[in-house]
Parts: sequence; C-alpha cells; structure tokens
Amino acid sequence: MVTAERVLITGNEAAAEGAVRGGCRFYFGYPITPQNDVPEYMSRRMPEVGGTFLQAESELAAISLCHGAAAAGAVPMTSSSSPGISLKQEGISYLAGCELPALILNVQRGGPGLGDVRCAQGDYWQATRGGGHGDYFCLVLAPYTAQECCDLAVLGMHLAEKWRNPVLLLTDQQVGQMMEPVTLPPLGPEAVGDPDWALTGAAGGRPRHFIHSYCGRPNELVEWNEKLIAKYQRMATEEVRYEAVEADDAELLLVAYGTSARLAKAAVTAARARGHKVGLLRPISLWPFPSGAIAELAGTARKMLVVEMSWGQMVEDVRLAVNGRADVELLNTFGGAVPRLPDIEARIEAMLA
Amino acid sequence: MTDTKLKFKAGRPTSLLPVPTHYCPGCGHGVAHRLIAEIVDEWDLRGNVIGMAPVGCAVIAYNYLDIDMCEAAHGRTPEVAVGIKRVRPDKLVFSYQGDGDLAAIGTNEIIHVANRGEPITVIFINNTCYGMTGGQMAPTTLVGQRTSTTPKGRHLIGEGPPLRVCELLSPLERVVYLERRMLTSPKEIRLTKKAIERAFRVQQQGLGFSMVEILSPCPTHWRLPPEQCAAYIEDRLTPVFPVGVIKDTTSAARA
Amino acid sequence: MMEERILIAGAGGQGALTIGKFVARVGMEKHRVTYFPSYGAEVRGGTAHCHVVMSDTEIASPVVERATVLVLMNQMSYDRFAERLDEGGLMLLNSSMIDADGATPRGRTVRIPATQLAGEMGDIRVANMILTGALNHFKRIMDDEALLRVMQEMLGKEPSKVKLFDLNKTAFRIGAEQAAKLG
Repeated sequence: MVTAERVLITGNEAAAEGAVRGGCRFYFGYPITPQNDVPEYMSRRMPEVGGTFLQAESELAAISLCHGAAAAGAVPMTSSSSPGISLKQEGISYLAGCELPALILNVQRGGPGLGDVRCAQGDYWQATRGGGHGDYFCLVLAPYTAQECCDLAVLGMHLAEKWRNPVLLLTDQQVGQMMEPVTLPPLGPEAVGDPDWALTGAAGGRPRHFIHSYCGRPNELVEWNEKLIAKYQRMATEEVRYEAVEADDAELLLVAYGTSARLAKAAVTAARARGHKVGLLRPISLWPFPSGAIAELAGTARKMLVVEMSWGQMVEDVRLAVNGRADVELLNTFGGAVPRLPDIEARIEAMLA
Repeated sequence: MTDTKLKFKAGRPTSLLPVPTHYCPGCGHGVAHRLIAEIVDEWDLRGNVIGMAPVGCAVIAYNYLDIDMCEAAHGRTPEVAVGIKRVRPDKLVFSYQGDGDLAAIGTNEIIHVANRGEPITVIFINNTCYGMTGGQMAPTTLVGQRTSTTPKGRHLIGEGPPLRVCELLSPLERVVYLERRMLTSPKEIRLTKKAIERAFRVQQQGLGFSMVEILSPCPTHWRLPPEQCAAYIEDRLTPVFPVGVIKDTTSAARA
Repeated sequence: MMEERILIAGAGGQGALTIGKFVARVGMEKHRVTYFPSYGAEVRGGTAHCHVVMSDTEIASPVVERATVLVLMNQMSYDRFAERLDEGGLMLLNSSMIDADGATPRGRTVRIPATQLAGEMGDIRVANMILTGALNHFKRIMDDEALLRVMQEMLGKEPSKVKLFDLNKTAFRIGAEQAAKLG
C-alpha cells in the first residue's frame, strides 16, 4: 500500500507504519474513535508483510492477545483511545509484571468517562504512573508530528524489545488525525522478537520456560519487585529524551508535549522575534521525565510555563523537577479544547512584564 | 467404582515434576495434570506444546508440569493462548481453566475464541465453585448448593441456574469438538484422557476449536470426604452436566 | 513568507475532504502542510469540513480559525463558516447550493455554480474538482504536472479509473476557466 517513501498520512497511520517498519508483525485492536484508522490500516498492511491482524472482541482481549504473542516471542502492537486504554490497564500491568514487550498507542480524547472524541491530554498521570495496579512503569513516548509518530513507533518497538517492557506511545486526537508529510524509514526485512526466553515449546531437553507475574513463595515477590525496580532505574537514566528550543539562555521556559508543544513552539518563535528570551523544553519521553534537563535550566529560567490540555498533570512533574527554584505557571485547556496561540503569547507577555 | 482388572500404572510421567502439589486431598486438579503429562510423554510433545495456567487453584500449574507455560489475567486465558498460537501455529497450545475463569469473568473471551474457531484446546475444570478464593458461588454452582456466598443455597430466582458451557458453545459453527467427562473412577479417568487426546488431535489437524470439560471433585468446598465426591458427581452433577461427547464435527471439518 | 490557511466545507458526500486532501497532497511537494479533517457523528449527511495549512515555516496548529481561503459547498457550510474569512481572504462559493448575497467586508467572494456545471458534465460528484480548479486559478498552489500526477495517484491507475480521471481532469479545467472569466 505504501510505496512512495514520502507520503501524506495521518499521525495514526504514521504510528502504524512506523511499528511495521520497526518490525511489528502482530497487531490486535478494537474500534474506538479517534484511532480507528490504526486497525483499519493494519488490517490491510499486516497481510502485506506476512503479519497477523486480528480485531478482538474487546480491549481486554486485544491486550491479552498481545500478552500471548509477546510471551511467544513477538513484539506486538495494540492501539486505542482513552476509555479503551483504561480497559487495557489490566493487561498492561500483567505485561509489566511478566516482563513482556508491547507497543501500545493511546490517541488521547477528552474524559473522564465517555467524554468526547476531541483533543485532550488528560491521561498523562495514567500513562506516566504505570496506569494499572502494582508498582511498575511503562516507557512513554510523546510524538508531536506525524513524522515523529512514525519515528517513535520504530524506536518504541526496539525499546520494548530491549527492556522487555510495555512502551506507550501517547498522542492526542489532533496529532493522531492530522495528516502531514512523512518520510518513511526503510522496512526492516525481519520481525523483531524471537528472544531466548520465549515460549517455543521446550525442545531438545532445554529447561521449561514459564512466564508469570505471580510470586507465591515467601519473599519471591519482594525479589521480583527489586529486579523490576532496578530495571526501571536503568531505564530512567538511559531513556530520557527531549527537545530543547532556544532554551539555554531562556528567562522564561515553556514546557509542553504533543499538540500543546506545537503551539508552544510557535509562541516561542514569536516571542523571540519580539526580542524576549523565551525557550521551550519539549519532553519526548514523558516517563522517564526529563527532570534533570528542566532542573538545570531552572537556574537561568526563573519562570516556567506549562502548556497542557488537562486540569494540570504534567505541571506537577515540572514543579517536582525545579523544586522551588523557579515560578511554575500553568496555561491549560480541558474537556476537548485546545490552547490558542494568542492566549499563550499573551501569557508570555504577562509573565515577562 | 473399583475396577480390579485395571493394572496400576506405576511411576510418574516425566513431564509431571516430582514435587508435592498445593492441592487439597481429593482434589481433581492433580489427576487432570497427570493426564496431560502422560499425553505429553506418550506423544513426545514436550518440545511442541505450550500451556496456559489460569488464575484460580491451578495458578501455579507451571510448577507441576514440565513444559513451557504462561500465566494470564483472570478469564483472559484463552485469548492469551490465541496470542501464543498465532505466533507459534505449529505448536500445540492448550489453556487450562477453572469455572470462575472460563464461565464467569472470561465468558466473553471463551465465546469469541470458540466462535472464531481458534485452533487451541481448552481443558475446563468444572468443580461448581471458586476453589482458591474460598468456595464462593461459581456460574456452574448447582441450584440449592451451599457455598460461602450462597449460605442458604443458590437460588434459581436472582442467581440463575448453572451455566452449561458445552451446551452454550455447541451451536457455534467453528466449534469442532466438545466433550464432558468426570474424574470419578479409573474408567472415567481413562475416558477423560481419551477426550483430551481427541481434542489435541483436532488441534493438530487444524480443524478448529476443541474443549474438554471435566467434572472434578472439590471435597474441601463441597464439605465432603473425598471418597464421597465421586458419588456426588454422578448423582448431583451429571443430571445438570451430562457427560459424553457434546459435539463432534471432526469429519465434517476435515472434509 | 508563504502561508495559506484553507477551510473547505460541504455536505457529507460532496467531496470537501477530497479537495482538502488533494490540495495538501500537491502542496507538500513544495511546502510544509497539514490536513485536518473534522467529522460529525453521522457518517452520511451532516457537514464535513477540513482544514489545510500550507506554509514555508513550521505549522503550529492545523486548525484554521481565520481562513485565507474558504471553499464552501452548501448553505449550511456557508452559514457556519463564512465568518471565518480573514482580512483580504478569498471565499469560493458553490453558488448552485448557496443562496446568499455572499457580501463580505473582509475579502473577495467568488461564485461558481459548481454543482450545476458538474451536472452538465453528467456527474454532480465532480463539483468538488470544479471548485478546486477555481481555487488553483486564484492561488496557483499547484502546477499542471504535479496536479495531474497526484490526481492520478489518488484516483488509482487501473484501466477502470481512466474515465474517472478524465472526468476529474475536465472538471478541474472547467473550474479554472470559470474562475478566469471572473478575473
């Protein structure tokens, strides 16, 4: 279906194609707006690459199919939007607990409850704090263009495999449904996966493999948690990603991701043109959060402005990072509304006055 | 109940690990495990089989069966099995599930996996209660049966009659093989093993979905001495859950 | 610095989204572009509209609040979106289906009886391509080579699509000619 290497596709399709090019050969999904073009795309694309597409009877089934496919040695993908991701949390906790890889796309929509199908970033806490029951973290990547949806899907496939951990691709309705030109990376010939720990049948007298999160023996779960926590600590130091725009000398630093970051970036450009020392730090990994980079900039930037489409979720991570060394303000929208550029520009002027 | 003509089959199947199980005295799980282990040995399946352990009494079945196994969230067991089977279609994949897992929280999964005709085999242990959590009412609990959540017995009105899963799945087109057996005597245990073998063969031939339901004793929560459980199954369970082949479209599926 | 913010709206089925996708697809060969569709809850009927932003610098928002170009295909779209025209903008109306004086203090209004012209061609579905031809006359977003190549790419190159391609090509030309008459 995709022949040209530079194509006009939605962020959703870009994430799907990125996953394919990153080696994904197993996709399990369920319809929910605004991510329906992902299962639709995969239903055509997977057969082309010799992969498997299956529309499950529920979000629970879709994530459980991922559980099984990952246990058998694949790096599967599933996708959904906010209410569907809540349903998947059971399986995500099991994936984390069993140390299984999967790429999970959440095209965020407004909530709580059924909410609406428009743009929101209200799942930040859910995404960055594990989301399901128990102590665990998912790697969370937050693209802000269709190109980045593709690139971070490729990366997400490899990080999931590398860390044996679920990777969340966190976008929003606008990033997901908007079409932009995307330069596609080459299609890897091989599916990722097939590790030596997978369930393959215990052939040749090798010791059996059993994949489980249940730890019933005394102290077994303590030791298992210690192992997981050590992994999360390594992930937290090795997998921090962010983009800094005009940040080094910024007296006012904006912090934003996804759709909010597109607007924040334009506001920074406009403010610079007016001679203001304003910059942007755009977290690309939301977990691990680029706390170190923000803390470092807090010396120069005595003020920070978080732009996000929630009641104020990421702003808490920014406040934790600066630890009182900068004034942190919030410009936010919620309930499906998107911040307006003039409002961000006005707030910048007010904060610098 | 005793069959003097039967020879004692000495020893332990290699695929059944030499460890004591956590099952209560008189429980049927150990017997069902052994049947699987015997088939794995006799068919030399160890390198070609992957099993699913459920949430419930059999949660650590992977500590007893010396084969590749996976855990699942409660009720999702058959879909996790399908995920494995889709990646490894050449392996024999079975899910081992209790009645809470399969017939309550996982009803959605079992219906859709069966309806799609996924070529996996389900071994369904029906002991008419939730064993591990303390003997609560299961979907399979008999009307009038006392459990820890039906202290006066299950009421038809309000709690409904026992759910008969084989009969529920039977009309589905791509369900190829359904048999219900019971662990009441050496003869019945042999028939149970034969049923599992037939179900495995259906899978190996790629014909579609297969399931063996096993009426299995739970003396602890039935509050019966183990030796009275067989009679209880025959007298009380089989009128509701008749044993035998419920559905077999093997020849049609092969054609 | 080039920047066009284009909003295209019509009844579901009129092909408003196709215009947007087409313009974005051609535009991406020279500029940065975003295309953002907006769907109602209904699949058929209702209004469908989309936003295309074309720029030589990074595009912040794909949503068009003040349009440099409005392409409106039916009355409901006109009533809803006419006020979004930016100062000095261009409003292209399908006058076959919009009963309005179209006077706007902010920019220029051009009326093309696109549905009627398409009907005369034998297929009212190409009204959208007539409007696209008119749009290109005024904005010169695409050259002929890119235009035909992309049109073919979007319609498909199978022999069965040849007639459809010719029809769309003709519709585009008629739209451009109509626009040229209006200056």
